[in-house]
Amino acid sequence: MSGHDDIHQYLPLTESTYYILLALAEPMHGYGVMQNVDSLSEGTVKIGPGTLYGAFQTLEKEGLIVKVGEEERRKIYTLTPKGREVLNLQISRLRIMVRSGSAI
Amino acid sequence: MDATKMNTTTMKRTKWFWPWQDEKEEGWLEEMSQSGWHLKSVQLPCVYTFNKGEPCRNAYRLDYMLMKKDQLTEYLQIFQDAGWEYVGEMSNWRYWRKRVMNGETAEIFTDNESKIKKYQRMLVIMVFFLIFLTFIGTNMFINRTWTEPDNILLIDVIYSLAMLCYVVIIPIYVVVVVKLIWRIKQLKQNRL
Repeated sequence: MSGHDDIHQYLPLTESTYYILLALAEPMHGYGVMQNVDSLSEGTVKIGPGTLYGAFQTLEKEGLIVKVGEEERRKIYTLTPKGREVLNLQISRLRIMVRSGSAI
Repeated sequence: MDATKMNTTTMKRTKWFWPWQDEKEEGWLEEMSQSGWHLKSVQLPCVYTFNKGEPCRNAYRLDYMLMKKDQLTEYLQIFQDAGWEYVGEMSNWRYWRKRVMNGETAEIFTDNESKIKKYQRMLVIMVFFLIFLTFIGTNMFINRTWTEPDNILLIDVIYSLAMLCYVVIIPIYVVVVVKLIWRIKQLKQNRL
């Protein structure tokens, strides 16, 4: 029960956090995340560097993402299993939202 | 309030700003760029150095964060990758610049949450200083045994001056803290 609650405390994700986690399904550095979010969201969401740096810090502290390497001073992050679980839960919530919205 | 030193190519200006008014400061730097004065460096105490150049539309953004050296490398890289130019740092304020292309907006914080966090970081530091100063001030008041009036020592003068500072500085910190809380509240209600 407590483990279950643990995961749900991160939901719902903000739009920025959702796309950042989505981009980090593959290991990626900050610049990659910014570009990826732009294309994944079809230009609807832009992530500024201040927002991204803060998100990396917070998400890492929460154990949703982890550093996996470094490439020319750029830290590479990816989802942890916990991060993936949170992302999947968010996706199923979004599916419900779209499904109920399609009825009208 | 403003002290200006100027020659044809560089200009130094001393200008104070309150931490809840950082956006006003950004606006001022943008106006300076539009009149051809581009920020070259910042240093304590609030000294801005400008270089004369072609007038252009630059966005200036200020970030506030305490950072260790290894964190700084990552931080700077992310901003520079996003096309921001690092101007400098002054007591944990970092100054960023980006050329604004036709009608585009340039933001370092793209959602309300991260903007709020910036002010929360300032608030934590200010509250820390407030508590620290109050603690020191109170201890000085309580533990000081005053000498007889006909026997005024230098130490008494120093202590009196210190007291005066606390009487002035602590209220200023209280105002800063209240203003920052107010700014955060405003942002939370989405009134940018």
